[in-house]
Amino acid sequence: MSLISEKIPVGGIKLSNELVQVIFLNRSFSENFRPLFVQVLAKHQVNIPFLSVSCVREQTWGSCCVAAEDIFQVKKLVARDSELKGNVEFISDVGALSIFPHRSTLKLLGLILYAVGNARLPIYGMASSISALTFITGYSCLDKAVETLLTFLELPERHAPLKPEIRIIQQKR
Amino acid sequence: METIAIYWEPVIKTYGLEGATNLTLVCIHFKSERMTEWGFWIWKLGSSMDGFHLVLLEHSDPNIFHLYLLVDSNGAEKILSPLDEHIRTDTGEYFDQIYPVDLIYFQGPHFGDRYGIADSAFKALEAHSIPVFIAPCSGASVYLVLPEKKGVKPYLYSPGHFMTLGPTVPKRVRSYP
Repeated sequence: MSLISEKIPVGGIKLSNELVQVIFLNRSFSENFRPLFVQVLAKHQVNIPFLSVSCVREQTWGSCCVAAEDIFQVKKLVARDSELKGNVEFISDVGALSIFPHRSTLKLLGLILYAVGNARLPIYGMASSISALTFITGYSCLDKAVETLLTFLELPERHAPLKPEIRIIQQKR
Repeated sequence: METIAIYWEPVIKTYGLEGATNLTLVCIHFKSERMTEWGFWIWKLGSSMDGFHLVLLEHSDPNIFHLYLLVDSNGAEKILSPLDEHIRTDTGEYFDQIYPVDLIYFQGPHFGDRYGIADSAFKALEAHSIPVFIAPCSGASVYLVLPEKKGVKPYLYSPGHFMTLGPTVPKRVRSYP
């Protein structure tokens, strides 16, 4: 039986395309906080749809997600960079689920952690943006995650979770 | 369906820089098997506490999560006091706080679909030796939590990095000076 019976109204849920998560190990940071990996991806014009970095009390962690289509290029870039090689790890087949708006409420954050933990869904990261709370889970788990969350969230009438219909490719400059 | 876009610009345009000061960064390090309990605890806390400015959850290995909550310093006690009772230090859980800290954030057109945005922000700060505590970037937003009163706006907007495109997006947090 669930300890939470309340439903929180939200504006919508958005799902991402398939992504790959890249975990930065400690040695993959430059002298202070800037991940070398992020520099390399910027230089080679690879987009990062999700990034999290923390550098608190000498402990540095970070990860990012890249599109699954970019992973071949990304792995090649890592392999040929002596500082990155061996200092990043990959989790393939992940996806992002965004709930909006979050209204800065701890109730929504707690509810997501509760629901995801209860359903034993994997969670690889979470970040808030101006309006959305986005978390990373298995790509194949996205539908189950939506189903789980809808036990606790109330979507507007006739709203279905938004799935990406177009993929944006950036023309190389 | 695929669509081709060219987003590159020599100086990255933003919708403006927003921020808040006098904040506390609460860092909770907990075991993954306690995710449900922590979720319930935070949900309950939501009834008595004002909202967050920022949330970031990371994992350093599959069994440990690091949850960062950025809240107003004058309301931080509401989360810190009950934390003492909920945390299980015997299993390796612990919490920490950093205060006061500042938040700055910005967003811009199609930031979520463009390469190099976060790196440009890091580069601008690194050039002036300004450390970043946490930096979550998702959607079209870049958030940076920094030591208090670094006054980073001039550094981010120094020549070659960022410029304002138009009016800022209204938000509940105060404007950064």
